[in-house]
Order: sequence, then C-alpha cells, then structure tokens
Amino acid sequence: MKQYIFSLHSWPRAILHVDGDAFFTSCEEAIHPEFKGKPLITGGERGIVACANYVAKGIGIKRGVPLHEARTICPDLIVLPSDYETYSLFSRRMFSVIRRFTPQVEEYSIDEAFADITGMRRVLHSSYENIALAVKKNVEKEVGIGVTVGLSITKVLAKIASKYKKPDGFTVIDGRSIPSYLADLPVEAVWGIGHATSNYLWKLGVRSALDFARFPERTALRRFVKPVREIWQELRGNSVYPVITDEKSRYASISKTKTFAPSTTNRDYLFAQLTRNLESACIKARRHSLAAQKIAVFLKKNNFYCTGSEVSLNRPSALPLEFSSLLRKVFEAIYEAGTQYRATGVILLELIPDVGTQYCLFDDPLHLEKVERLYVAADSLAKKYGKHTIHLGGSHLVDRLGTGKRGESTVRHRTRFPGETERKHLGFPILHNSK
Amino acid sequence: MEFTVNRKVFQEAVQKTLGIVDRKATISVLNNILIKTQNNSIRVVANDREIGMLADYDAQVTKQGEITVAARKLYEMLKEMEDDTICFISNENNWVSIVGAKVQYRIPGLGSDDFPEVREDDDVRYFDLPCKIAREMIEKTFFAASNDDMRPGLNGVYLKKEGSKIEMVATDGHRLAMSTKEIGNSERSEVNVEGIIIPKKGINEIRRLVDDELNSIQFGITKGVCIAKKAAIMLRVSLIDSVYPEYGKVIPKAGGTKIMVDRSKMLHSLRRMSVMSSEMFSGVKIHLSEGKMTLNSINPEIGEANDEIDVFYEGEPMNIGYNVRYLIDAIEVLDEELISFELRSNEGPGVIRSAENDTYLCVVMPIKLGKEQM
Repeated sequence: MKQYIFSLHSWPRAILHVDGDAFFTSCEEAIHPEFKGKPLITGGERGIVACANYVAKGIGIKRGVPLHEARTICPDLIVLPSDYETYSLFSRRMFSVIRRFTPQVEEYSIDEAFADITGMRRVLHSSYENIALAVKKNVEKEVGIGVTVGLSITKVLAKIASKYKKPDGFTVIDGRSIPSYLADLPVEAVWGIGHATSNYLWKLGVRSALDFARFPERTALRRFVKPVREIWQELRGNSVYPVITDEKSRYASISKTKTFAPSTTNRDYLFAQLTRNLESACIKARRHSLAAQKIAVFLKKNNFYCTGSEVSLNRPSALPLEFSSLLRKVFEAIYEAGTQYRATGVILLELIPDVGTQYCLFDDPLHLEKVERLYVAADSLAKKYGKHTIHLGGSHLVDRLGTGKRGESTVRHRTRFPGETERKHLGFPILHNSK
Repeated sequence: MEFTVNRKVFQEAVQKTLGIVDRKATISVLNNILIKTQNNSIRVVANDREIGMLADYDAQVTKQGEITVAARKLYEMLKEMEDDTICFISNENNWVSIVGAKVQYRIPGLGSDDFPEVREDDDVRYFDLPCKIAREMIEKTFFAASNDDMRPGLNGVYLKKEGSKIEMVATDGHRLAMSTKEIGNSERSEVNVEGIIIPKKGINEIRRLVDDELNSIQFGITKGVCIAKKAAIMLRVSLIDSVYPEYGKVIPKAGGTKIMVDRSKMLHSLRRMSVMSSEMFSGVKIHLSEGKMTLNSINPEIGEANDEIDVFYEGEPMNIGYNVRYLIDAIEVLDEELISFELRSNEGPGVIRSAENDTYLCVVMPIKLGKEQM
C-alpha cells in the first residue's frame, strides 16, 4: 500500500505550515522567564484553561478544564489572565520573521501561518528543507517562542506534517513520501474533515487518510461535494488551496461571543452581554462594509449546552439599532429563568457587501437615514475614544456590572507608559519585572 | 382492489398531485397519494397537511378498496407506458401492480390507515371565479410575495372580495403588487371575502387549477381554509393566520414624476442591466433628464452597463436607484404596451402601472446606491 505514488515530483510546490507550540503560554514564558519549566496556564479571567504549557499538559491539565479542577490536579499551578494584546504582538513578530523568507504568507490564525516558498531555493541559496529549518530557528531565536514546522506540497499536507510531531517538531512530506504519512492517519484527523464527513467516509469504507486519498477519481467526483473533493485533491498532492496573503475582508460570517466568570442567571445582564456581542459583531461588519442577511443568537448554559435561534432579516444591515427589538424577541424566546448561563453569542450570517440600502415600504426611510448617520458618528467617536463609546442602552449594564472577567487583569493592562491611555497602548510587550 | 382506467387520464390525475405531495416528509405516508375506489370511479387524494386535494375520475372498478402509493414513481411509470387503458391492482399485502397489455410494474404500497383525511366541508358558500381572471391576478401579484421568518403574513397572497370587486395583493416589504378586477354579477357573487392570506404553495396549486381559459372555479372560505373547486377536483388550502399590513397606506395617492415609456423597450433595457447584477449587487441607477432616461449598473465583481431610452420628460434631472430584479418583475407581468412609471426623489416609492387602465399597480421602494454609483 505504501508504494502507491501520488506525485512523481518531489516538490511541485513547497508550502510551510508554522504552528506555535502552546502559543499563549509560550508568550507568557517569553515575558516571564522565571516561569519556564513550571506548570502554567492562561485563561484565569474566564475560569477555564484557555492554554496550558507542556509541563501542565504533561500532568494532565487540558484545554477547557475548569480552573478548580486544574488546581486540584496541581496546587502549584501558575494561573495567568489572558493577555491578548501581548499575544498579538508576538504573533505579528512571528509573521514578520516568516515574511523575510517569502512574501507569500497567510496569517491563518493568531499562532498559525502558511507560507508558500515555491521557487525560493535559488534566491535563498538553500533547499526547501533548509529554508523551513531556518524559519523555525529564526522565529524561536528572535520571537522567543517554540514553533513546529511542517513542510509539504499542499496546505492540507503541510498541516498534517506539522501535526505529525509536536512540540518543537519539524516534519517534511515530499511528493514521494505522501503514502507513508497518510497510512496510519485516521481520516477524521485531516484538516477540514468534520464529524459528518468522516461518518460518511466511514460508510464508504474509508478509514485512514490514505484510503481517502486513494479513492478512485470517478467515484470521488460523483460522491463528494466540492469542499471534500478539494481536500481529497490536496491529500493527493495537487495543490488547490492557495496561500492567501491579503488580509481577510470577505467573511462568510462574523461571530462575537462572550464567556463570563462567574456564570449568571441575571436576565438583564445576559441581554446586555448579548447586545454588546451584537454591537461588536456589527462594528466588525461595518469596518469591512458588510451587512448581514441573517443573525443567529445563542446562550450557553453552565453545562455547556447551547440554546439558540436564527432569524432572517428583512433587509441586510449592520446597524444594531435596527435589530435590537428583534434581538429582544429572540432572547425572550430562548432565555430560561433561573438557569445559569456562562456565555452569550451573536453570529452575523450570509454577509454581503453593504452597497445600496433597500428602503422598505412599511418603515420610514428618513428614520433609517438617521440611524445610518448615527452609526457614522458612533464609528468616528469610537476611533477617538475607543470602541463602544456610544452604545445601545441595552448593553449599558456591561459597563456598569463589569465585563465578567474574574481575577486580576494583565500586567500590560495595569501598566501605562507616559502618553498611553486605557485604549491606546504602544505596540510592545512588557517584560516581567521580577521584584 | 382492482380497477381499469384510461392511462392518460390517470397519468394527469397523478401529475396534478406532484406539487402537493411532500417529498421531504418524515412521515412516509405523506410521500404517497391515496387512491380509493367508488362506484365506477376512483378518488385520488393528496395531502401535505397544508394543502389537500381530492379528485374523482371515471374508472371501471372490479374490486373495491384503497391504498396509498408513491406519487412520483407512479407518475413515472404511467408516463412511460404506451397502453390506452391500464389495470391497477393491489393485494392484501399492499403490493401494487400496474398492468398494461405486456408491461407489468409491481411496487409496494402502504395501507391507508395513517393517511390524513382531506375534509369535505358542506357548509361553504362559494362564488364563481372565472379562471382567466384568477390566473391573471395570481400572475400579477405572486412574484412579490415574501419568504420572511419574522413576518409570516407576507409569505402569501392577500385576497379580498367586496361585491363584484376582487383585490389581490402581495408584498415582501420592499415592493408591493396589487391586482383589482371586477367579476360579472353571477348569482352567488354576494359572497364576500374579508381578507385572507393564501400561502405561496397553495397559490401555486390554485394557479395550476385555473390553467384553462374558458372555465370558472368555485371559491369559498371556511374556518381557516379556502376551497377551490373545478369539475371533479377540490383543493383545500390552509390559510396563513396572521395580520396583513395596511397596504393601502403605502400606495401613494398623488405626486411624483410620471413618465410614459414603452414596455418592451424598458424591459429589454432592464434585462441588459441585469446581466451585471448578482445576488450581492442588484442595483440599477436611473437617471432622468430632458427627454431621456439613462440606466447604469455597476458591479465591482463583473463590470458596468449603460443604456438609454427616449422618454417624455420635462423637468429637473433626477437620480434614483432600484433593485433591477424588482423592476423587471413588475413590468414583465404587464400586457399593455405603454406603461406609466411614477418616480419620487428622496427615497419615495416608485409606482408602475399600465398607462391604459388601473387594474394593476406595483409599488417599488428604491435603494440607496453606494457612493461610487451616485
């Protein structure tokens, strides 16, 4: 089976996947060198483990575990609040190091990047393997965090390569060695293969990623929908997913959720958080000139069960004032009095470019004009004084009762350099000052 | 049960049920139609619990009984057979045989016990509605009906009858189409309808029923349903239980700038604009200046289109944006060659009518175009 050949060329393309090892805690270790080698987690403000370093993982503390459980496992555990400002600074530095090797870098998430290094061998006087190793070494040296690098001929395979050995891994899957890496990989571990697809593939007799890749072309074309077919192509070494360098501006959906600790039964506070979610999502939509045609709303209970609902809007919009009454209706329908809730969320769906507002017969166009102008003003005030300077009355409780973060805020948040305001910080992390 | 029937008649009978039979129903019996024998006739019943249909057809019944069978498969089988008459047999194990001179089909049916009954109400007062009028009114309004989760009332066509005057209205909140007709003073026309909302799927079925030019249907209302009857066919449609918006208020009484324009010229020009439109960019800019109307459509994903039509217009130049699809829909259904288009600046509604009569109008709300189009 391993003799099966997908690609005759070793390097039709060369794509890197760079993945931060326990990224948030690695950043914390970089600014708190004294914590290195000790069990450390972030996510203190949410009451659950957001990220655990490898020492903590080694003693059984996993992502998503409630804090009190984590403390029972390890009483000496160092618990830090998430400091996203610092993490994004580290993230930006990681990307800029990779950009020195190739301009074609995709910022896939805060701690993951794809980089297309095809054709860079001659320019950099180096083999693809050595370029990949140099990326890894430079990120580790200059940014101070550990990364795992996968090198292969498509994005899906590069992702498999970086997953193969972690942390501090470096795996190369060239065209000829594809089968040996896919043979023992369960198909559901492939990037993009979800629960439903893997169940379907299971029915077709596909167990391993290799079974999937070897699926005959004619049947694949007939049996699979386009996204699955694309993954199938990528697994066979035919690159169909490009490395996308531009900043993401076309979203299929925008979601904003808020987890608060401790959980709450307070109806007004929950509604305020939900309204704030809606406002935040709409700010992002307006920034990209998008309008939603549908919104989904959910509440997450303490037992992690979600109740939610989805509504189509009569006209695409990104102005919270336009659907605040709708939000109230949906909230009243899904809220159960007395239930402990731990998170709220709003998702804007079926986004389309916000060009031309369709006026409606049954409401006043002048009113809509006013609402539009109001948000133009709100957005310009936000630029000056910070997000949510002007917000709906419905979300005001968030400001009065707090944002639902527990414990101490981050060091970066508490420290201000001359000229900094609460909203505007200089773009560099603070190294821990061990007094 | 066993009966012999004209294949063509039976095939058409089954075809009429295909729009109703719910292909996605989780209760498998709803994917079927019910066939039961009567004296020298058979009754074909379809029901998706919103719409029910009863229809009787002549047949030679040799053994009484009833059975339900998959509508689409039955239709496909009948369509492919060549015989003039066929024999339909079902046995006690619910196996159904459809037999021609040489062809023989055998498919499993389902017992009729779980099939929801279609009630025959006997206290309904009907009025006669000529098919031609009904069809025209449906075609002139149906397109404007909505698919709206928040306002279910808009997902149908509103119907009102006062004396001999019938009014049908449909709107999705962005445009509104209204058709008004007088029917002849037939004897039962004192039956009035106070305003009902017929769901889109039901309207579709009624539209099929009124397909021929000459006949009339009988139409009546009772307890949350409307009934349409023609010859041996009865259609029973559950109405939408919701308040219909006060549409009279949004139809402008006067004012606006009225232009007269040739229907086919306008329609073709709009279709040329719609080549540029996609789901995301569907706007067309209409620029009126002395003696001409300029149309312009920009889609950043595709390109740009420009066109010009001669119109009679004297006045200040004006710019208004519309969804091109809404204008096409409104103009397409007109039969007359000269149309009147009433435009308003400042986000006011546009109104499209026939220049010759006022039996139809469509109110279309403009869109505010992006900066690059102004």
